[in-house]
Amino acid sequence: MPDPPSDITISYGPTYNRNLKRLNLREATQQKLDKAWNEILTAVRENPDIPDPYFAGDPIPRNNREVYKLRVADPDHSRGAQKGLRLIYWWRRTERELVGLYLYPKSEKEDVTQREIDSARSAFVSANPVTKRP
Amino acid sequence: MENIDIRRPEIELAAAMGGVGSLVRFAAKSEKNLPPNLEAAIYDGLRQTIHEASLWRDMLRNFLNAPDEYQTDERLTAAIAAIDLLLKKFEGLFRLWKRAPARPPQRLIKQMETLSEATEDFRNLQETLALGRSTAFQAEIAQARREASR
Repeated sequence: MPDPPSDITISYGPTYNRNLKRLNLREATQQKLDKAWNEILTAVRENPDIPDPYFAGDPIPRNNREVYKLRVADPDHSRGAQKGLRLIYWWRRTERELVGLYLYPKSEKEDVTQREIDSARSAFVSANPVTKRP
Repeated sequence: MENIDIRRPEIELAAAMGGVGSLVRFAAKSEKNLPPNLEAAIYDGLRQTIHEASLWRDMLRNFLNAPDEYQTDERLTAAIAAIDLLLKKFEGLFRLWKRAPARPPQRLIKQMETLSEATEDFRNLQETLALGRSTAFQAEIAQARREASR
């Protein structure tokens, strides 16, 4: 695990630790994960309010801009960031603490995201019916 | 917050993509290399599309960084659905592009690569928005936070 700069601490919640144990990452993916944490640290240090999304990921809506999602490549399974791991962490600005909340392969939550996308599409179409030309 | 217009793709970006899509469709019918005027028009069209995509991407990120009360169900739904429409347009453009002349000019290849990267980022943003809209996932996050706070 990376060494955090002295002004920011990193901790890992029980769910994250369980996920990490279950995933049993090999060296190459573990290195990617360590690199990701280091880049998050740098990003939140440079701009605690709106860290660079390229390195810190994006805030998940409705979490007071405190919970972020970052994509991490998974070379163990020959997966780039797009299909690799999802790191969910909590950025506690006031406490200056980063907390690992979740770590999962994208495929694990694919049904959740697809369901939401399908439902959003249907809801949007119902609310904005296409008017046929006469 | 009123300046966050998540419906933007239905206007400038969709218009830019529609324009360049027609040009690429025309290019796909070219048997040999692209005529210079068509190449220049595609280049300008792609440049405009990339520009609009970048503006909209920034806007979506502003939305993700907006206060929770602004991130209503209605707005989340609209953003997810708008990205969905946009991704379909992108896929159509890429399909047409594959039918374009065998050796497109390097500068157009580079623009298509930029557009492909933008597409990937839109997929990522859509996934984040969808997770935010999911009650089940939000409950999981809340649980993980509670556990981590103990």
